[in-house]
Amino acid sequence: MSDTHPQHTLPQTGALSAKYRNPIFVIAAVITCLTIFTAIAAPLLVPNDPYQANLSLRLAPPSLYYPMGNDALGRCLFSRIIIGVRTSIGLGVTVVVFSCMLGVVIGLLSGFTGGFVDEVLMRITDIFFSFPEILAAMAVAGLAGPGATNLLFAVSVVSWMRYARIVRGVTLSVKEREYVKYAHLSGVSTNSIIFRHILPVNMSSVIVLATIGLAKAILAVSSLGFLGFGVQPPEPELGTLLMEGKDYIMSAPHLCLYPGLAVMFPVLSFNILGDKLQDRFGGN
Amino acid sequence: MGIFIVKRIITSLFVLLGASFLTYGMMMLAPGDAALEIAVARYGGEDRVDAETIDWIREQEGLSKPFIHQYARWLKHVVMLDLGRSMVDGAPVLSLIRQRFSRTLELVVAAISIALVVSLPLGILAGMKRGTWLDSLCASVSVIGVSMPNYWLGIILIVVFCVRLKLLPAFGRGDITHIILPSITLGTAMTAYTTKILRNAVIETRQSDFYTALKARGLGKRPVLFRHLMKNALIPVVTVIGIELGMLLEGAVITETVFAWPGIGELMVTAISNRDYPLIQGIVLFSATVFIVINFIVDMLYYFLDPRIRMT
Amino acid sequence: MTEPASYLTIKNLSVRFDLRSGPFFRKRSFFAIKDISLNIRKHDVFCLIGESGSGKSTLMWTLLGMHRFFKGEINYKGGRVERFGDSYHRRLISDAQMVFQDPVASLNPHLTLGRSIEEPMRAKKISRKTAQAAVAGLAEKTGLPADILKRKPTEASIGQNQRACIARALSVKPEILFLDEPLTALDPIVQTRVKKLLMDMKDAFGLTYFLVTHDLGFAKKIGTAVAVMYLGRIVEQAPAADFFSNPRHPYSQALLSGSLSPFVWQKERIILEGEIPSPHEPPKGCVFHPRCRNRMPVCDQIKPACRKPGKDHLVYCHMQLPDVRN
Repeated sequence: MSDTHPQHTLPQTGALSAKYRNPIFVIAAVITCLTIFTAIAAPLLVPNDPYQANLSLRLAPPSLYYPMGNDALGRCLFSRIIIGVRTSIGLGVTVVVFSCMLGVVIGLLSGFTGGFVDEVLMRITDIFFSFPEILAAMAVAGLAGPGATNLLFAVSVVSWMRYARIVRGVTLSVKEREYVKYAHLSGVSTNSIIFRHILPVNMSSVIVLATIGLAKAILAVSSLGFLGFGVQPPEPELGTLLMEGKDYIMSAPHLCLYPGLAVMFPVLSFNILGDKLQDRFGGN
Repeated sequence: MGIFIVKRIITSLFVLLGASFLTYGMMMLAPGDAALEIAVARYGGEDRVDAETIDWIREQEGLSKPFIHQYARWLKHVVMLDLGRSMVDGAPVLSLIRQRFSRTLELVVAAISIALVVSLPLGILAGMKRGTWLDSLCASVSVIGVSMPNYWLGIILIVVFCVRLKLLPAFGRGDITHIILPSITLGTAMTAYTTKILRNAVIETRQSDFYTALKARGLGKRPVLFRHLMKNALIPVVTVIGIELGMLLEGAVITETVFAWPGIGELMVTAISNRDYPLIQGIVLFSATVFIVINFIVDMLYYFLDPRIRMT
Repeated sequence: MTEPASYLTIKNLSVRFDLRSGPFFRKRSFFAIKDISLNIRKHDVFCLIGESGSGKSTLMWTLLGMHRFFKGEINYKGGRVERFGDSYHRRLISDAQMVFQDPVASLNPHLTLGRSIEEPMRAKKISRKTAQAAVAGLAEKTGLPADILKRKPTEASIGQNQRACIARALSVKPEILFLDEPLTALDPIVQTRVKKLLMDMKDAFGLTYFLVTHDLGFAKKIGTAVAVMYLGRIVEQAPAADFFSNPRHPYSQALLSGSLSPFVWQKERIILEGEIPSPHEPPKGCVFHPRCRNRMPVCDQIKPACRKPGKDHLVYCHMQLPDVRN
């Protein structure tokens, strides 16, 4: 009977897994997992004490006990990089969490409430968008003073807008859908409408944004570290490691090479992941 | 159509006003006493100033008044193009910025040129030969270029070309050889991004209905098809260039620090380390203004290039 | 057995939409519906017919509280709605339920059908267990197989989706059911089944229907009262039997004549000249006059008064038209 004929069939399982078998995607996924693992287990993974200075090993090239050599104070670069990964990724994740939450809340408020509130919030978003990110973050971090908290604040304050804009757009269109109007009519509470009907539709776009946002956040955090803002020595952060290393370009170039690679690979894998997710979800 | 332009101008001005408010408000973040800082900067040391001088400065600069008053006063000066004077050497902020900005602009223009020269043929070719090894190569290079930290690339280039090969100078601004490395560093991210955009635009146009219709009508010859392709693919490129101009300004900050290029980014870093508030404010406001202007121009261009926009 | 004199009555209801367009945010407005007066009795199947854009849906949405009304009165169970959204209005809304035209758009694609059906019950604070039992019962009544409840809308057929929407609407035991062209999206075989379902449900639950429809055959079969809308105004209202046997207004006649079913109209087809005008620029006088073949000079000057050719049969037309016994 035509009545029982389903409109859509489930996608073939075969086609789905073929996409995920793409080698680049696999490599990116592996690197991502490795990075997360390193970030979490960092203190357990270090072969040497990252803070232990050893002046006799000053600027030593890579060796057996010190796989990436030693820095200007003779500390093990490899160990410092591992902790640095934890710091940089940790900061990046925190930035994404804060800016995402802020952006999503503002986007939901703006899209759902509409009217004057929407206009005001959108103007505010436009104003924040008009600042070049790194420059503004620099100014904020520089003025507020050194330290991780100020760094987080600075980068989050310039990152939330892209979430707000996307979420607002999605919310505006979902709000007009008939099942949302029906829920409203049937007396479903506003909270329920937002959480059951509106938020789920936003999730795929937010996840894509957050993944690419993480890549951007790590770059931003380490760039600011490179310029001297944020986490201060002796705490290792991948950007500050490069800042320390750049004074010894001539004599010990390995100090510049490895921290940069340590930033690049996670960022690369997050970007690839984000791209693939975007292909999959078709967002933005 | 004129209405559209007027509306956009009004919006831009409003955003600019808001940006100025935030810029001035940023100063509130700084811990410590502003009057003290000014005094120290003027007289050279904390031990050289007494309480009376600090109070006098506070009166002078209106620092005890409510925030709105201070903001309004500052804004009045800004509108008359007076961005104050640097706390360090008393030089007018606006002229400092102007001077430095032209140097940053040199760098940016060089970077864009490199980026376009590389990405235009590469992106278009990748789009045409979709799915081949060339396309995959471009895609990989693209994503790597975007993921590479700016500062790191600069340093590596210095290590290779200056330290090891001793081919090019590393720091400062001088003859044309000085600009090569910084502009490559700055331009890499943009090249990567533009290549991807171009490639996608070419693919999309080739798949589009109107293009297929053109081919079906037998406009078989390459040049004609090519022309239509180009026109459509160029639209996103224009917008991307606009966005990237903004991003380049940002990337310039870091690149200038690495290569000691005397541009506006480097000025900013110095200003922050000196706690030179007027200069910091001036640079932030200036860059925001440049951003807003670029966005406005891009919107206008987009409006003119894409007839579909005019319908809305 | 006396029924309350008025159940749901609308008097001179108008809804105006403001548009922001043109330079400098000048406001332009138009009336989506104007001066509508209707009387709906309990247990009626009140059919609202008219072309697209005639304002049928707007009227429904206004009654349900989605649009503010500009002028006019809504009376429900003797209580007058003073302000949009006041307590009487809310009472009406809570006694009402809706079924829409497109079942796929009315169901959240992320929720299973079972969850969607229980949603209004959960909103009324009915416990999950009770609700789920009710859902099972409703599924049976509406002819949905039990395993369908675990599926999402895209995994079920349109007919099943629409029946889920009907089940959902019935779950909170409403008094009035507003149906906005519930059959239009369904193909003919499915339509038949859903029509039967609607008729059975009405009897089983003692519902009042407010049915917006294109399907004149269905209106004739199930309807007890009919109103015809054109460009936001009512042109004719009558009990169903009177309407279908003796439609008075030229527009009603044209509409009925357009039906393919001999059940509805046996004489020859009336073709209307011209196009339906835009609601932004309604014609002066009688809004139908540009297309009316019985046009008189007075028709473009003065709005037609209400005439009563029969008990409860109202026509808004200048001509006292001869009977067109069908």
